Amino acid sequence: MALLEIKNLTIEYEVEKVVVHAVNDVSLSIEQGETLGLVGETGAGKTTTAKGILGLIPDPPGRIVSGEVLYKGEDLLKKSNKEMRAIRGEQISMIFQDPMSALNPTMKIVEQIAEVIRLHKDCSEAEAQRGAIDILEKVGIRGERGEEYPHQFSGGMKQRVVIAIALACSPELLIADEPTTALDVTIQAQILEMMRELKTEFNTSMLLITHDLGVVAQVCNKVATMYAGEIVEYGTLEDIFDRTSHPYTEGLFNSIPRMGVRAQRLKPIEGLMPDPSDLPGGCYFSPRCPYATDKCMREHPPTVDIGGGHLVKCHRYTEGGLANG
Amino acid sequence: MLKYILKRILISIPVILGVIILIFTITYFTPGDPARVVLGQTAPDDMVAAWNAEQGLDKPFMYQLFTYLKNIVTKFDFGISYVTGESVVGLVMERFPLSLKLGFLSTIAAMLLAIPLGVLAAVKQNGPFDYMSTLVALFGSSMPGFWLALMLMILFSVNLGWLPAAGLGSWKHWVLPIVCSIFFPITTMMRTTRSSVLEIIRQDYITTARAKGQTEGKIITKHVLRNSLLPVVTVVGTSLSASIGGSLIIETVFTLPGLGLLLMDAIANRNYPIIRGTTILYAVVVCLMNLLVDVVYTFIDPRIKTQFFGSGKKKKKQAEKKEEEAAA
Amino acid sequence: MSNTSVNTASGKRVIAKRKWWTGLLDFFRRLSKNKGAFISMFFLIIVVLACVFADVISPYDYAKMDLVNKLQFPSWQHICGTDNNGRDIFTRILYGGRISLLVSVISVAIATVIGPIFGALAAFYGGRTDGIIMRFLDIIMSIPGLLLSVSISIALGTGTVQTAIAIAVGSIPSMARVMRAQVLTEKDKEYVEAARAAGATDTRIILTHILPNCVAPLIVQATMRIGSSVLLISSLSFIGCGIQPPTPEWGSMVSAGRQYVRTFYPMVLFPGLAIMITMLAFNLFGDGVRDALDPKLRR
Repeated sequence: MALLEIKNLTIEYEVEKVVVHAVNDVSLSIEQGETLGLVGETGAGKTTTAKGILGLIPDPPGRIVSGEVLYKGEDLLKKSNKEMRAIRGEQISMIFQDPMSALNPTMKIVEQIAEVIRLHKDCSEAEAQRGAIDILEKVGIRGERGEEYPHQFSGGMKQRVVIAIALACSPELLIADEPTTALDVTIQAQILEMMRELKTEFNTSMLLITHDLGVVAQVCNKVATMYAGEIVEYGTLEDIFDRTSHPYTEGLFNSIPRMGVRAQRLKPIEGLMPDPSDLPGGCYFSPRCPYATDKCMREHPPTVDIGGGHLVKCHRYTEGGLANG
Repeated sequence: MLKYILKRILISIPVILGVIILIFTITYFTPGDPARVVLGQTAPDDMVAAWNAEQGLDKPFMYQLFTYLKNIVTKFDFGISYVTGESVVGLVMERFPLSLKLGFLSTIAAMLLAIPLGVLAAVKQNGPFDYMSTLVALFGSSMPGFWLALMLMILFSVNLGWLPAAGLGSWKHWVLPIVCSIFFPITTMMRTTRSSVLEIIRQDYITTARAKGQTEGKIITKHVLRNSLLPVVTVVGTSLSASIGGSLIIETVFTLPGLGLLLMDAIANRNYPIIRGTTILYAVVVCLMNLLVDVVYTFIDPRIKTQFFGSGKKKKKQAEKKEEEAAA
Repeated sequence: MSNTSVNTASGKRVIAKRKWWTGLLDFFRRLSKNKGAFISMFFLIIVVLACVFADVISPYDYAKMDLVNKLQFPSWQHICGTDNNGRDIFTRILYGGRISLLVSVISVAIATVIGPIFGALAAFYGGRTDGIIMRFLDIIMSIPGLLLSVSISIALGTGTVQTAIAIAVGSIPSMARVMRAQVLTEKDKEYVEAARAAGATDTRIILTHILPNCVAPLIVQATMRIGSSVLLISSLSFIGCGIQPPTPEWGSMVSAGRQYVRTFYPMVLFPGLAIMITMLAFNLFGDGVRDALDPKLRR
């Protein structure tokens, strides 16, 4: 049984009478010890999906319209807030994108880590603090620094603290929302290395959200590309990198400069992601797709399995192909 | 830490000096003849001249200003009242405690009411309570203080007879003045608390706290409040100095023997030494309040606190940099 | 400033020229979204018109004494009753409104001219200039608003012009600060550097680039100050400074009504109500103007 299985999750936001379709019929699964990379541009719905798993979507204005989020077989969406609170931080942890603002500026570092320990383990304040210092050292920060405040730390160190908080109770699943985006490339490498080691040590599964395919290549076993709230391609790392199928994924790879390839200009994907409150009819990617036909503009493509669990949402792989039906 | 306080006090001194000079200059140019107010309108000219000479009022402006400053700095002498001849310092000090007490009680009462209300309004944003409290704040900040005082007096003293209208005596005499004094501060404090809480609640670290599995209640007390109360401290400080200044109106309406009433009488009598002394005192109180707020901030905001209490932090930071570079 | 680039559906960039009045239309459209502000604007217009056309609305003379009809409770002939001299209170409120509004607007106008000059100088030249100007403003701000105006008022005496000056001085620091804050933000922006690199002089930079961007918060602040100036004027008059009878003024009317507090409340109630309603309208309007001009809320 998969550790986490999301089935047909749809999440909407309603802001001033305008409905924003943030997440549309998303399905994915993560096995024990696996890392799934969720790739996509800003606004694709990745963070919303992640927040949906932990029940952190504010209602109002957010709304989970349909779907299931099965964690160890139980649907998290049906759980009460109290039950979810027990899961958050201990079974499933989340790291957020911007380390600069993820920590409470008026609390000492050690207190912030101890807080998550005390919430889930029955122990005294002193024990929690000791545990906090342990995990702090594990992420490479000297224990004495726990007495300091966030503003005394650099960006990379802050992110390590955030990771420490997330891993303090040895969760089974770690959701990392663009953990290295806000950091310099050299620090990025350090953090990723550290995460890989900790992952092996604790045997944690991970949902890694990123827009950087380089990061995906280093850390992930499975990949899902997300566009306008939908999963448009899903498969193993090899599937996505060597047998790229969906035009959007193709476009993503083409946009990055590649070593060994001589090119005069970069090939970006033309156009912009559609407004999630005003999605086009048919395939959401069709306005920007170089292969699009009338059928693509009219009909929403189904999800097709093109071999071994490699899923694509594109008319090119259906029975009728791109021919007008 | 002490150095910082001393530095702040040092900066305040030229400001206070400036205030004294400004007030003196303004009151110097007022029309009217204090001599005739004291001696009577029909006093003979030579008596008037003699009185003026005695008070030093026939000397040129700069000389008077200089003498005034000299007296203040060396003898703490602000002159004497034209009417009673008593020392200004004495009179003012006699009346000041009452205004101070009124100001303090009002501010504390306002804080106790405004802060919880503000937090509640923010947490239940756009709900009926929020709406109501915004409305009340709007009305409260539009009401002239003297009008509110009189209206309450009409209602509670004249028509209902529950509370006395003037003077001091029992705790009942304090009710109406305090209720009138807290109205305006409550509106500002509540608004500030509300917007501060709203801003903090949106912050990423609040979501982090939720992701840890923390309860909403603890999130409010442990995370939100600690951070949102920072701007509220400033507002409390301003409110306190405003209350002490606003006591002018309240004391006039309710005939309370405080500093404000003293000032009112002095204005009517063209009693410049008193006018100067009282206004200067008010200004000094405001300066002190600002200083106090700054000092309090250094204690409660860790970002400022560490600038003063950090021990060997510089060395630690250098060591940390080396660590990071080594790990790269 | 008058050109914006727009992405059309085909993804191409187009430079669209905007007409000069789109900015104003934009402002009104956003103002109308805030219902409270819109209603209050309406209200303010009515109040202003009522005061301006006082002589048309009311048949009574605000100064003429008619002791036979004194201290009458509200009736159809006298909507707010008559005061201790037999004068119609409503009429006096209307004429008093003229005075209050006029003096407020004049005083804020004075402060809006003088204050921002200091603020801009302080921000633009920084260093010692900034230090000196800010110290000076600190001194003025240390004296509680009412007391400052009282001191100046007794120096200058009672009357409309004198009161306008007394109140203007109190408004100068806030206008200066707002200007200073804006200029500080703007002067570090890249377009200023770009203008300098293109060879523009300091004066040109201030006048054509920085100033237009500072107008918005100044307008917001000025609107708020007009409202608080009305309150200040009435407080001053209440005490006995500012504007005194026989000139009708809301504050002095309340003060005159004090002696009759036990028996005849209209003299206190109605003028005060007028103050409150006007203040309310200004506060709402000021909030609405601020929201409408806030670039962060732009769609």
